Amino acid sequence: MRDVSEIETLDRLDAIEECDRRGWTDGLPVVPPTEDRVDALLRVVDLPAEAIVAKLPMRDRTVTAARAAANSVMAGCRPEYFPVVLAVLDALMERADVVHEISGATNAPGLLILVNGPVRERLGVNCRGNLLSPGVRANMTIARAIRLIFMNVFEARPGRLDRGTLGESCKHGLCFGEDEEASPWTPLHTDLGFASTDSTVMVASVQSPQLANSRFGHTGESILLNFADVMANSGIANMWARSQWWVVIGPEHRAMLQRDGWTKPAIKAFLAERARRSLADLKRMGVARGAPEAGDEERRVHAAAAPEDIFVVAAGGEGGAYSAIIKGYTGFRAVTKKIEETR
Amino acid sequence: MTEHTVRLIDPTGGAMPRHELTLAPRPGALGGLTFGLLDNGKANSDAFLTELALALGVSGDAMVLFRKGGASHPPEPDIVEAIKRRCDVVVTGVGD
Repeated sequence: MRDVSEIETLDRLDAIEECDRRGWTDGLPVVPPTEDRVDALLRVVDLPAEAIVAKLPMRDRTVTAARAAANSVMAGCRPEYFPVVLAVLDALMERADVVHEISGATNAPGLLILVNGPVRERLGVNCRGNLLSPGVRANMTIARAIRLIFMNVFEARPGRLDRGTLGESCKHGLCFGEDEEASPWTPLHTDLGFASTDSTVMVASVQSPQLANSRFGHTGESILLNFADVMANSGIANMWARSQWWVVIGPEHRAMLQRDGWTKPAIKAFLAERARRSLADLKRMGVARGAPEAGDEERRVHAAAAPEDIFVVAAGGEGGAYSAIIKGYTGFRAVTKKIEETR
Repeated sequence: MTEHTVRLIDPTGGAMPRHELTLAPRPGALGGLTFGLLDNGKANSDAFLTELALALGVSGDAMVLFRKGGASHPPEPDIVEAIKRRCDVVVTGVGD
């Protein structure tokens, strides 16, 4: 199952253009997936090239270890990143039929890849400054590898099977780590039953983050009211009831919440209750069906169905009192997998 | 300059598998036929398809409405079998 192309060139860097000519890229130049580079990734996980690591039965498409490695090389992954890429594929394969949906949807959601555990430090996964920005190799290339697998193996190419309309700026992938060391709360993966010494990835389909910048309030509650208001943004309110939420809390906000005694469960309960709009409001904007009726002004529609649908994550850089709210696209709800170093 | 051979691993897995399909023969007219409407579950899909059938002159009692489980997926096998068993023609294809 290893397909090898040989190209003759006077300049090895011409292979970069050859990859573009063959339609293998995401619009940016890629690292040519040479045999030696691909083999280096396969050796890290001790997998044969033809091992199957993911399948989309709906499209009759199979990801072999070699194809996953080739796309990871093209993305710019170092060999030691490859176990994380495979863990993301493991998570996606929990619901392969939904992968089919989210990779073609008109909404065009991105993928959240949230990393916990010791792997963050070992690979240099950014958990702090410019958390959601481009700039750190591990964050950028792990996400990009998955995007390239979607485009190249799953044929999720814009205008063909990918029918995204306005698209999402986070569709290149949103990979970052939780800042467990600076968090006043328990790490997210331990809340889900993993050991603190486990390295994990949480994967979900998401919309692009929105910033929350409460910088003048004096209480933790003022910060949470800001978060609730951001969550109540009507942009895609018609999918609220089934959405999960990631509340990524930056250092200044964490400090004030900790000072005022806010625990994770209390934060989640507060936001589940307060992030809401009236049904009349939503109907007037056309994000809920029908014309406003008597009583709709008092009927509350909540952004999160329950506190359990809200994840509190400690991450981000200091100096500016920012946090970020990430809304889940209802298709692929969060799946968390342990990162296995070898297979 | 020396020519180099660069061996690249194909990251795509080859071309999309192709399945040979033929279209069913078209009926000459719709009179007397049972008309299946396959609703994909999107908002107003059922209303749109019903209006379409009425616009084609299909009477209400000649229509059979089916609804598949998800917009992104093919209809379930039992729905496909029911359509084949009960209908002479079927219309689907509502977008978002």
